[in-house]
Amino acid sequence: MTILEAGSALQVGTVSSFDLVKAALASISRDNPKLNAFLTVTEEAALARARQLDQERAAGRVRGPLHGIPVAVKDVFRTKGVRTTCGSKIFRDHIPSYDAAVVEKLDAAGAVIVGKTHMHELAYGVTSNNPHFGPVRNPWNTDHIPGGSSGGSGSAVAAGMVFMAMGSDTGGSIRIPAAFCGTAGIKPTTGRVSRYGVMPLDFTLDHMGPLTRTVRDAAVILQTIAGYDPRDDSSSKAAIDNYDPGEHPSIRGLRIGIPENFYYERLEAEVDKLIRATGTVAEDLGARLVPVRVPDMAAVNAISRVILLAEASATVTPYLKDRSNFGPDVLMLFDQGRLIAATDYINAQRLRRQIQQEFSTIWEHADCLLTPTTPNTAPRIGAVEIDIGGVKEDVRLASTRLVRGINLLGLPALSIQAGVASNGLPVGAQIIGPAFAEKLVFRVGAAFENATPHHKLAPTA
Amino acid sequence: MAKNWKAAAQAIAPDIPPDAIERIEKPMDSLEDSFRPLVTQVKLESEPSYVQLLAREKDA
Repeated sequence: MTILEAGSALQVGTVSSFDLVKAALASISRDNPKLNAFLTVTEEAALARARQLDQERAAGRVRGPLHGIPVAVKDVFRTKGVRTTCGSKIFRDHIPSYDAAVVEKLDAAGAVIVGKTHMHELAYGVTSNNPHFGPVRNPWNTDHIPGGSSGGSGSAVAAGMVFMAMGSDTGGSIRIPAAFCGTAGIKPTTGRVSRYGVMPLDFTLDHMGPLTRTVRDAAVILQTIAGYDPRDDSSSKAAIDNYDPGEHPSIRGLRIGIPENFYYERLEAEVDKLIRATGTVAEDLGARLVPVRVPDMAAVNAISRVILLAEASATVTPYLKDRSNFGPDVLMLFDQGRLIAATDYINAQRLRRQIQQEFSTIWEHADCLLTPTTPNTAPRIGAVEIDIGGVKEDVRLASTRLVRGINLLGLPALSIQAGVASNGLPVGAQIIGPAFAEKLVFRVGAAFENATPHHKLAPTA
Repeated sequence: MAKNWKAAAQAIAPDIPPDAIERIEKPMDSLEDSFRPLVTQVKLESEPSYVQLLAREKDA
């Protein structure tokens, strides 16, 4: 069931919010010991909230499409009175005194937050193999990672525990778990969703967005959480579109750019095949596939890494005195960041502006880009390297290779399920649009979902 | 030219243990190889992109 379907059922009274929340809690109770997708479950508060929302509905007050829908938020979003660990030993007992802006908006819209999802330590990695709280597991195969850093959100949505779980994305942390777990997930344009109250990893690369079962559900969530927030310096005043692509979106005549360089290089064979099949579906729906050349994305990734290493290390400086606070993988990254020269950081931010201008010329030739989200399916838990096309590649660098640069550019990017490989693991396709073109990327993603059965496949692990 | 990361750490982050420096030498060298040539491409007038002003935002 999707958010929209659950909303219809609530509207006609065949189900109550209390029923939906009870079902979500039962699913968490059954599957969380196996998947470790949740760090905190707020059972009592969620049930009380559901009762209250049912009473509101009975009295004729309906807040909107999220009224009474059970959801979750990554444990990077501050929640008033509810533990917010950021997947870190440092914040193991941190109880915030206020809600993040996204939590405020979900609450005001009538969503019922049933708990906080597990994640990679401090949102700084792609495996969600957390040394302090244990590994999150992929519901398609529990020996494999769900991706990260929003791994618990991907795992929870794919397993059907909740209709939506919020994620954060600094270098692919929404889109990677969406791809590895077979869900939809959008990283919106920089400034579209407030970062207020989210524990930061990187001040200029962090983005907030939902993981959902369908593209239309992701659009419902973005509609709820988008908007200007004076408490976030990067927040945008740009007008908010109506993001709902509708039941039968058309992409006829749309120019879908297929990058000739970088994005289709060194992919697992089945990833390549399934993404190209996605392009064929788009063509069958009347879109035009347009070959485009993208700027040097390897350079974009290098610029992005310099910025992320430096900013993330600056973020945690007060805590680095005690190295036992950190797992070995994130500590290695913090050590690297401390050795980035100030001039290199500033020049990386100057190159960022140049490359943003260069990249924007692509939109003269294409309305959006279609690429794989990751070159690989989900690696096994504990794997450090994977083999792609005979080349050994670090799991983190491989999994972020096709997504990291988009954070630097600030563009919206949606991951949708493009099918399941013969190893039983999902493959994600990425739709990248111009700044603030979320409506367009939702339209493309929803049209693809309407034409294929992939998003309806559920994990059986 | 390869950077001497041990010397750099000694100067600016002396609390990083030597074995930790050894573990990060390879990724730092790799990043240095990718990033250093790009620095020559920075235009004199280019300002840093700390807060992005993207297309539609300017119209708001």
